[in-house]
Amino acid sequence: MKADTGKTGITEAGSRNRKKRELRILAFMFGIWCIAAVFLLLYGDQVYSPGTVLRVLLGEEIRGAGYAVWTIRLPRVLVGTLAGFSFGIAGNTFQKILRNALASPDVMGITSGASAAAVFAMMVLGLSGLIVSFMALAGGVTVAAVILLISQQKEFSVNKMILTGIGIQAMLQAVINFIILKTSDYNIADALRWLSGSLNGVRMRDLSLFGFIVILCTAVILAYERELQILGLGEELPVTLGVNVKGSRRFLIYSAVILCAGTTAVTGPLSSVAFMSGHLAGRILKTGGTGTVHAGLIGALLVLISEAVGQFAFSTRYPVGVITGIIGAPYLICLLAGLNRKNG
Amino acid sequence: MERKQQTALFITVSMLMLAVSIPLSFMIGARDIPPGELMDVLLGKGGDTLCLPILQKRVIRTVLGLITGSALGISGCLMQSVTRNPIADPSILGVNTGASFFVVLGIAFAGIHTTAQYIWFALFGASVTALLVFGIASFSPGKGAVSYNVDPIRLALSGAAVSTAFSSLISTVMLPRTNVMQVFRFWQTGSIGSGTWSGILMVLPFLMAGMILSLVLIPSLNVLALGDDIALGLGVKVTRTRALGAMAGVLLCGATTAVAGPIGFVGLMVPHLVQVFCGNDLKAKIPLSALNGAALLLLSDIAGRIAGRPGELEVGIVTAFLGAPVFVMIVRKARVGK
Repeated sequence: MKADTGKTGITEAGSRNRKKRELRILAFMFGIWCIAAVFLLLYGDQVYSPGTVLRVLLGEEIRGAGYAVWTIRLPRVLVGTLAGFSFGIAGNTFQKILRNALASPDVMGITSGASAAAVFAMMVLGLSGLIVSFMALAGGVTVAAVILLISQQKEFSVNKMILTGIGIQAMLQAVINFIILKTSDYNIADALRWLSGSLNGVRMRDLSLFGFIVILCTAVILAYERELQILGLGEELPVTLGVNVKGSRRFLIYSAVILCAGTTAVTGPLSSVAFMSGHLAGRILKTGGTGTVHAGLIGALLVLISEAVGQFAFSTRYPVGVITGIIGAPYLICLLAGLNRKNG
Repeated sequence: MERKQQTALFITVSMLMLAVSIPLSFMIGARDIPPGELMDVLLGKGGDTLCLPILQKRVIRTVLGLITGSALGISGCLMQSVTRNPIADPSILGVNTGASFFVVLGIAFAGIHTTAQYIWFALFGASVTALLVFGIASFSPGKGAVSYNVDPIRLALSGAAVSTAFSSLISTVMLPRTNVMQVFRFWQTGSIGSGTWSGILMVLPFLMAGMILSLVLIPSLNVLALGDDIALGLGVKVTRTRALGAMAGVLLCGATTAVAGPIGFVGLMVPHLVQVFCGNDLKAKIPLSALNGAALLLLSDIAGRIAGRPGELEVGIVTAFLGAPVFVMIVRKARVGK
């Protein structure tokens, strides 16, 4: 910990130390993830022993346990992990590029775009399955494109972009409320549950395509890691350092948008995960790295832990998005208060 | 001279819009009443037996539209001038979500179901949220002092933060209770279609109080626009003026929300529109915002009735679609910190 303070940060030894520290943190987080995942596999309506779960996972047929683990718990853990991971990375990428902790896709209305499109597809057009996911993805990407297009002025202003996003989000919220108003009584509970973000009802077969998208976009973002780091330095410096600002910014933003919208299509909008993970990763690392993987892991942790809390802590079962929203709101408020201090 | 002409023209046009929109609002709907028939019914010469009850409904609706529109227009004008912020609007600042949350609490735990009961919860929710949002935006822990010149982006972000918080809380309360969901979703999209005379009478005192207060405050607020120091030098009680102005604004939008549900963006669009033609003097801006707010809301409602046939689009969704592009334009022009 001490190694990265002061001058050591720029020497070779300092850099090595920093790398080591980053790896240590990564390992630690992975450890917590394992605990959370195992907990979610063992507990539920029925508690199974680790041995039983292990035997089931290895392919043994056990009545009851087999169904619970393969159809309910394992998809939940895997999809939850992927969702958190991708929200975390998306949030982190946005925050790094736009150099503003508040500029995450959920604050800027991209998740709302995906939600509005999905709810429209489900409730108004009566669609279901894969096509809904594609519409959600398209909705998120469209909103992002509109925001980028609108905020493309002579000088790129992050703040105007955020404000535009907030305005569009207010409009999309009205659209969502309206669709809910017109929905039949029968579907309303489903719609609201989906809108608050939930891992209930995810299936193993959702996993392959979702996983593919997440891995692909993550790979792109990791490939652009250097540009991401340099873009975080400011408006002018990247040009000096030979980075194609506009091009790489667009590439990174759209990858993050696809991550975010694609995840929203599967789980619904898990409120606040994106912006919390990126910021937390920066806080924990304290170094100049982009912290992409860290943010992703923190996101996964947040989702799994919130899922456990939502499932077991209260007398009613709450979908995971409600819990993350409740954690996220005070976090955002503290962040704002802290930012005020910095900016005077 | 030119300005005066422009202003006069603008006033004439707004009056005309309002004058046209009222009879249109009587005529257009799921079942149109043609002008001839409308005259017959109004003059008591009979006409279709169905027309009378339909017309009664539409009169209530029109009156409600006029009242809420003008209240929202003034409310937006006040909020923008008190916070010195071009994007202040109940929907952007999360005030609507706050009011919604308290109404949900009321529906879930106190079993409220009439306008008279909604109003207290909505008003309380709106005031708490307004205080909270403005407090968060202007609070700087190190300094202790609260500054009133809040950056638009900070204000909008704290609005977004508080909005997120309240939406999560709304879900928490609502998800386990299907019956609350059923009541609430009809309230959540702003509409003037389900008003009653008793509901209107219930909120009228609050709206009157807000409007009178805003008229009384015009001279002080005008001076306040010159800057706090100058206002202080000219003998204006800065803090008191601000607090009263904010109170009037919250009163107006809270009462409107109670009777019609959250209707966004009207308070944002109207003062900007007025400002383009009549400048920044609140003596003209506040009354004209009221006038244009009423016209805008009524026309949006009529548009929703036409667009949503055979049913209707609630006015809240129409104003959202009109308002978002206007908001974006305002943001583009606004001077925002880096």
